[in-house]
Amino acid sequence: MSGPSTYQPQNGFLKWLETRLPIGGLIHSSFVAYPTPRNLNYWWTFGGILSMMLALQIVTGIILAMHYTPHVDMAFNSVEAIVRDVNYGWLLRNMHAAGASMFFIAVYIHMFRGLYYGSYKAPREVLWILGVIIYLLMMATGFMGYVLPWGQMSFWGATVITNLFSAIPYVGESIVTLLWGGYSVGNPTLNRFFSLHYLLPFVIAGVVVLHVWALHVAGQNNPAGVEPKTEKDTVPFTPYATIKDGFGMACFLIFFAWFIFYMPNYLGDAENYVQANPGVTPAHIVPEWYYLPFYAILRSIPSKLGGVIAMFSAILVLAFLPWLDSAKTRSLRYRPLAKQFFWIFVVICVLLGWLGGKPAEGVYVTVGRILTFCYFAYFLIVLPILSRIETPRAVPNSIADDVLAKSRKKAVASIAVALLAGAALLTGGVQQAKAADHSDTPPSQSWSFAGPFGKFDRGALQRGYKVYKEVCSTCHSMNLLHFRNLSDEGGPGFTPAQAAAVAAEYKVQDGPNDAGEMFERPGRVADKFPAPFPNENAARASNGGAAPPDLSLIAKARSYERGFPQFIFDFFTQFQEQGPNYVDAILQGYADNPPAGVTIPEGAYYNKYFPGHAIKMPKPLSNDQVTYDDGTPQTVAQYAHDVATFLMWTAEPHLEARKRLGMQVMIFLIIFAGLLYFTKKKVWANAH
Amino acid sequence: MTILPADQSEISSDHKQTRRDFLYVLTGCVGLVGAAAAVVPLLSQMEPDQATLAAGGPVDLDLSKVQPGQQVVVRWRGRPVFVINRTPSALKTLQDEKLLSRLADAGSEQLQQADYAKNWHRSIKPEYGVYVGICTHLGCIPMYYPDPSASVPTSDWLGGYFCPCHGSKYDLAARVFRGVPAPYNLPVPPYHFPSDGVVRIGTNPPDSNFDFSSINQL
Ligand code: FES
Repeated sequence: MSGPSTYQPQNGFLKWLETRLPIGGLIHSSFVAYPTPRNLNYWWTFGGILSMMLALQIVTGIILAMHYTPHVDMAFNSVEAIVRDVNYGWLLRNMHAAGASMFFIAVYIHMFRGLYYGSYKAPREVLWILGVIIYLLMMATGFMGYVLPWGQMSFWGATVITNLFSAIPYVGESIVTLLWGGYSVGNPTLNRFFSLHYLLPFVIAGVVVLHVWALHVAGQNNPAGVEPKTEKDTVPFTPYATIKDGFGMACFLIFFAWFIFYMPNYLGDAENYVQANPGVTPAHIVPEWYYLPFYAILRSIPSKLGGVIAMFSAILVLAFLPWLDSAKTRSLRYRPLAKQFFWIFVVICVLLGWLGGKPAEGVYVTVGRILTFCYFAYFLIVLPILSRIETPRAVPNSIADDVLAKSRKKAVASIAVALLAGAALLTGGVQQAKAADHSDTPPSQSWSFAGPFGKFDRGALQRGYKVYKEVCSTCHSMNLLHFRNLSDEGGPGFTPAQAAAVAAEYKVQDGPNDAGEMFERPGRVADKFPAPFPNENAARASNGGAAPPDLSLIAKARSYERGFPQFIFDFFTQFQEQGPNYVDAILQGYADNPPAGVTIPEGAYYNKYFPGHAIKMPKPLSNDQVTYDDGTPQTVAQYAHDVATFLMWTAEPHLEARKRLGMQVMIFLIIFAGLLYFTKKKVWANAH
Repeated sequence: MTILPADQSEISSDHKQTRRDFLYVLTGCVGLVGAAAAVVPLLSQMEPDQATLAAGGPVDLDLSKVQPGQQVVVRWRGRPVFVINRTPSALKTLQDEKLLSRLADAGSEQLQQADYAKNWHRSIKPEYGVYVGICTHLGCIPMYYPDPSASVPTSDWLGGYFCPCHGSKYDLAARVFRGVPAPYNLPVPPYHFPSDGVVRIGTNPPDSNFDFSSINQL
């Protein structure tokens, strides 16, 4: 893509091909001989990382589409079936779901890099605008993808976001109808979102080709922001940039794998493990984290149309950046004032993201408005003025000079700053955790399945199953659990014969038979656990108006706020056990007399840990209610612990396999990244 | 990762050169191993999933539903399985020389059944026949014409199965006739009688470990 090729095919066939289709020359000039500035730092590897992420999302997405059913009645269960029944389905699903977040992390780093080093300036305006288009397409794709699992957040996110378009004057309502294909978000919406979610990644891939093409015409920018002048300023793309990108990708994969194998639910919302219910809006609708800054901007404008305009402008303003910032010096390294404002801007973006996850009330609204103003001020006021008044420092004469002048001190300084910041966060977090002990957040229990080597305690699973069967199952269904699962590896450890015997104890409805009638037969291992009530209305009617929730996913569908900065430490300690902590706490949280000042309505019971304290479920467990054969104490605390363990297993039957494979992948990736690092050092040894 | 060629421009000792080459080759190999391992889940996910496998479990049929001369079709693994109750007169025709001479594989020499069904009636109990109802020609479902007839479905019919697609003929033990497009007898699925009145399709009798996937053709 950059001028006539110097590619000389050796082999006869390649020569023949080259005179007919010069693809070898194209690849050679674009990815082998292509000169790249020799002073690129690791922030430049994110282009390669993004290409890798796009490829991974497309591959895993195509696979998920082989098993997914885009129908409102089946979508949620088909996703669960992928995770539970398809070989490695849990892995592919985690990769795709966490992959979306990784994609956005990489793209934000890539964008901030462009912002910092002035990569949008002439002659790279078109390259930058193509990037903004890719980002918009990514947002659309990510949004529609999040709708597909058809959980509560999927549904209500879709409702809220599609309703944004109704703010557009005259055509808004028609646009919304076109998006919905009905009177509200429903089956037609899900179907068209699935179709478009499949299409858009290929559109992204197409624009990426244009993006790379534009890049190869203009050449890469670099940290010094001066154009390469002589041969000495550049190195050939292969091996120098390829090996460096390869090392960058391997490191990024380690980070990615941490989420896939250890923190699959860290970035998701527990509410999305509850199937979509058009009749119940969750208390707190939050979009995926990568939209939060824009969501905050949307909410801070007190007018529907105004908010929508502000939100879209916040993205579109990026496209005008090349003309808003007219400074001749590209890199902020040499613009001390602009550099300070850049870091302030980064902080503003992070704060907006944090606000987007907070309820839109009280002080948050005021702060949101101030930050929204600052966001736009950075682009519309600060950058245009700075580019006129600031006197930049002298830029190096050439890239080669820049490489020579590079000092190590800076790196040391920035690492020290990072460490200090980390330590500050840590102390803050510990204090926060101590303070939290006094509130009604469920106490953290110790679970055998927590942490990187976690395994289920078979005894606890079997006892928990007993408690579930004798107590919980009289009211709660368990729709995703099949009798065969009892003998699955990593489960309670029943033999297939025992599982079949359990199944045979149940009566399962089947039919119609030849006479057209439904009949009952003994359960088979392939059957799911029968529900105690024939339908939700019957369940509601028999339980004082509150249908007991299905328990299959309850240990992942319930959570509680960990707060800042605790959630940051959770990332390192792999804390994922809010669900079982909550279940355990609820079962033990009953008190006969509510504390003073709390009134409990008729037909409800006081529970310390239930949100709002008034729970419709009567105290389900008491000491010695279930007989344990293995001598384990028959106390409510023990029952609660066992049944919470069992419910964690029903929510994630492949938890053990996930952690086991995770360890293998981690070890492999660390070795591979190490090898790539040394290879990179050797390759670059003769470039300096 | 591709294996990177050693840069020839650097003049260094042979020793250094080999050590560097070794690093490149090692990195390349580790990368290849990783790529190969990554293919495993990508392919393995195409295997039948656990729900599908479990749904392919054995199916029971209450034999009181199959009166002499009748056929009941059971679905097993998505395929029709014929369960027939043959009358004494039908059983007699199975050994009739006139019929045997017209069959392609009267002795069930082709592996289309387990040993326990390799006999003149191709079944465990003579009266009950259990066959996968998929024509071995191109997969249509043969139709059940148990009674001899001069003209229905074809001339000189002795009783058995007739495939409407391309005219393949089978007798009441699902043995294929000579001179028809279908090459093999209908397969006998694994089955046994857990109790007197019940046939269980999908599992062998306790003393057999016949592998159904080893048959010639479904
Ligand atoms: S399929 Fe039966 S004869 Fe061709």
